[in-house]
Amino acid sequence: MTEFVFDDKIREVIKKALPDDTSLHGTPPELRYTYLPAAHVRALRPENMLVVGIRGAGKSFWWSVLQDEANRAVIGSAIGLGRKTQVSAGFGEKPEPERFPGKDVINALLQKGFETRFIWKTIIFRHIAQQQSPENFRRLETWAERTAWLKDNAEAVENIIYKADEKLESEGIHHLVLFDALDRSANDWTVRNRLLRELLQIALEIRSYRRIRLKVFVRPDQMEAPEVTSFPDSSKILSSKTDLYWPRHELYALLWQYLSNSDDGEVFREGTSRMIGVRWQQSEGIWMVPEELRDDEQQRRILHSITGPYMGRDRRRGFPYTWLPNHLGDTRNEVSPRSFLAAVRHAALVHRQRPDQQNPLHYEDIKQGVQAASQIRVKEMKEDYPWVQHLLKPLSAISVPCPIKDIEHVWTKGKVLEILKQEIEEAEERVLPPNIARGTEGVLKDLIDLGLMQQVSGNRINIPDVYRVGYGIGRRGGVKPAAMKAGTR
Amino acid sequence: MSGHPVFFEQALTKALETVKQFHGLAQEITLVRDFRGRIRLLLPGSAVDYRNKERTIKRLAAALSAALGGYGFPPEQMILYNEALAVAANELSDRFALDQSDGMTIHLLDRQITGQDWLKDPFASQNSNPRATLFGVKGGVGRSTALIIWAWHLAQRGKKVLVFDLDLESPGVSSTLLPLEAMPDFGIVDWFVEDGVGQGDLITPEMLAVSPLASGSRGDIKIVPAFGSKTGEYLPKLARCYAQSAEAASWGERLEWMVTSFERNEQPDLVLLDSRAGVHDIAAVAITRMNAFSLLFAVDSAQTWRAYSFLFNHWKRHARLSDLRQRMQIVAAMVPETNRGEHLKRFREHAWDLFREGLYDEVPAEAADAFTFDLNDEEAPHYPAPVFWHRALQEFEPCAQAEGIEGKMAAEAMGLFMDRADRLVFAGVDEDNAK
Repeated sequence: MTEFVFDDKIREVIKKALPDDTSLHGTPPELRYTYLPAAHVRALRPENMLVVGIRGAGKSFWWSVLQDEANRAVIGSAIGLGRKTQVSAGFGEKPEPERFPGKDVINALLQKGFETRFIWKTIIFRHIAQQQSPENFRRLETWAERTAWLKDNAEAVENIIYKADEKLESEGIHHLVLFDALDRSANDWTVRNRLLRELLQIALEIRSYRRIRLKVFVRPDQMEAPEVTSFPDSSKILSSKTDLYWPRHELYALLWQYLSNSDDGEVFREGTSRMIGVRWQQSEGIWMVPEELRDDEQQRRILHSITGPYMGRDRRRGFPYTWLPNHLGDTRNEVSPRSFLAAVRHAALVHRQRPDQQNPLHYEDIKQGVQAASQIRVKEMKEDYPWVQHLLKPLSAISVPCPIKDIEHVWTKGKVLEILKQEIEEAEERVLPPNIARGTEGVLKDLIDLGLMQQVSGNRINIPDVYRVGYGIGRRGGVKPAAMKAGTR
Repeated sequence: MSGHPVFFEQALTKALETVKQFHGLAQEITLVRDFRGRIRLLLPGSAVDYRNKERTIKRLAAALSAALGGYGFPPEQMILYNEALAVAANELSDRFALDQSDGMTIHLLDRQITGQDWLKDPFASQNSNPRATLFGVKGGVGRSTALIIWAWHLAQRGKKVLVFDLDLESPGVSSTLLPLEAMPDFGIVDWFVEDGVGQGDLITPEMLAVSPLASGSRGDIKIVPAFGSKTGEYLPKLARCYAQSAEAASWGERLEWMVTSFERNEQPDLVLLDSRAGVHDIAAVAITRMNAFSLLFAVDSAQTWRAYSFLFNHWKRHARLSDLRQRMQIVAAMVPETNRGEHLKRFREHAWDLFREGLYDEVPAEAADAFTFDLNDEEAPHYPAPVFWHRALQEFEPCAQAEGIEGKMAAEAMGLFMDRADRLVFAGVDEDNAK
């Protein structure tokens, strides 16, 4: 029996289904492309207040999905949220003055002497109380006025929130207030850290209510600074922390979600049915990824039917199924689904027919796709951590793994830290590496914390492929390839 | 001096005595004794380095030539230079120090077998089944046990496995897989001796046995042991094993020929070669010349890594490096029960260094077709396939126990290893068959 293999049509499905930019920037995602990994269920349940995920892991995605009623209807039952759940945005990437104050407003409030704590409480109060808040509060037009009012009316505030909670309880529904993109709440570390600490503290206090919950989405590095968690009982919130981690099989399941629900999704659904006899079913008009397609071995078969079995002419270059996520992972092997989808999409985009072509995608396509995803990752890092590129770019002269002192030497010789400080001082966002005060040793720690570098035995540093390639850094090896010998020398 | 014949036993002593008189010449001098026992002198460096000692060298060559008689060479052929011959490091490692005095060490390099197999091309193997060599640079790390459990696991899955016990110096797999009563008449040592006089074919039908270990499974394990029930005296045979055959075929060529003939008859799904441990010609042939995948067993110790780096640096110069390195896979042997994660992390880093510096390509940023792998690349040759230490494996005699191998124990100790090894040897085969 000959096994079913995908033909070139699948490449078109990939190109059409996968978005060129998966970051949503606040708009609700398309229902049909919402995939809920089993590992994220816990993070999204109302009782879990602190959700940690690397850049691109889906923080803003879930922030947005939870607010969208149609999306909630699909995933709500899995995460313990009824249809009538109320969800509000307490902070987000894009300024929405009616719902929360933006960075500049927060900054102005702080300058006027408002306490961080009251700024957050005002936002939360306004969402929870809504029409139950007093007329004179509702009439206020600026966040400064509202915050001032809140401070002066502590007892009324407490009463209103209490009653709101009672009402939610009697109706059996939750009210969630979501916070995302908190790195955009201020321009420097001290203020950011304080804002986050106070917010977490409030999240903890609010736990005493029955139906009101905050959900705070943060990146792991935002939790690194000791002052963020330096408040009584912080361990309670840290112990309930959940991660938006993407295991390999979930990345592929996400890919299947896209392929099966695209306009030409039939190509994929029919192919997989013929290949492994799986039955596709719809729920609310959306094709649900069947359990069999979450299984490693089946996923491997499906992918390899699209890509061929090897990452080269022979097996020893690895297998596409593992190679793809492996080359996109940081030092903790964390892969952002955004990088993953970008790599697959670019592989389909750059595809060209090759003489030894047997499958819709060639391993060279995949390699190029991963390189493109590397570049995207580097761009994302630049957005989130502008200082990273200042430190990494000068390293293109070296190869890894290398002794720590080689890296420090490059930085010292090029006065990299001094230039970095100077440029960041002049920039709008004055966010330096958190440990820059400790010099090269400090920034090295920061890069290690971010998953960009890892320390290996013998006081050496390695940089994982996704960043090594993205920043144009070589890898040491004992064999000098012929192509290099034939080069300029 | 004529009239006093020099015999084999005296030649070495005479050479030593003569050379010691020239102690200022070099710090290290090697006496090379060839197959016939003739002795020459090997000096470090090249002839150019001794330009100002030309007369001394001439006197030494003449003295040696005179002293050694039939076991010497004419003076002009007496002195060899290390660099001119490109003597390989591992070949020199076989030498041992005979004498150390006056700031000079005199070594002996005894060339009893052809050697050099490490660097030669693979045989034009005609095998259609995959082969895997299990090798350890040091013995006693559970290599043979792993082979047996893997073979058993494959038999459970319906595979036909054919095992060759090449660990002739300490045959283990043979007796573990075969109880005494199941032994065939002859083994590999017998074959080499008989083949030496052209009668190998006569005993091949009596060299193969079926292991009772796989009796309950869909597949089977057959074994060509190191010795058989009629082998008789083992040591005299072993000593003659490595001699050239009547047709002057090398040991490796003869082994290849023997293995192929069994493959032709048995049509196995996989051939497993239990190589002897250490840097030895059997291992050289089994790893580099038989077109086999190599599972390189290692424990995380400085000794082990040094010994391997010795081999790897040697292979770096191999003409067929690009083929060779694609067939390698490191195995973390005897991974302790506690702190497995930490242990494997350290192991992985050391293995990465070994492979990177020995066999991986140097790459600028992203070379299109470079053979190089990141530290955490789980499919990379350096990424260890672990064999976990397990109490039940310490007194491992599966044939002596009624229940044989316990599946749960096998999975616990070797599940990850076997997954990896299966994929290594069958990845291409199974997928090709599926097409």
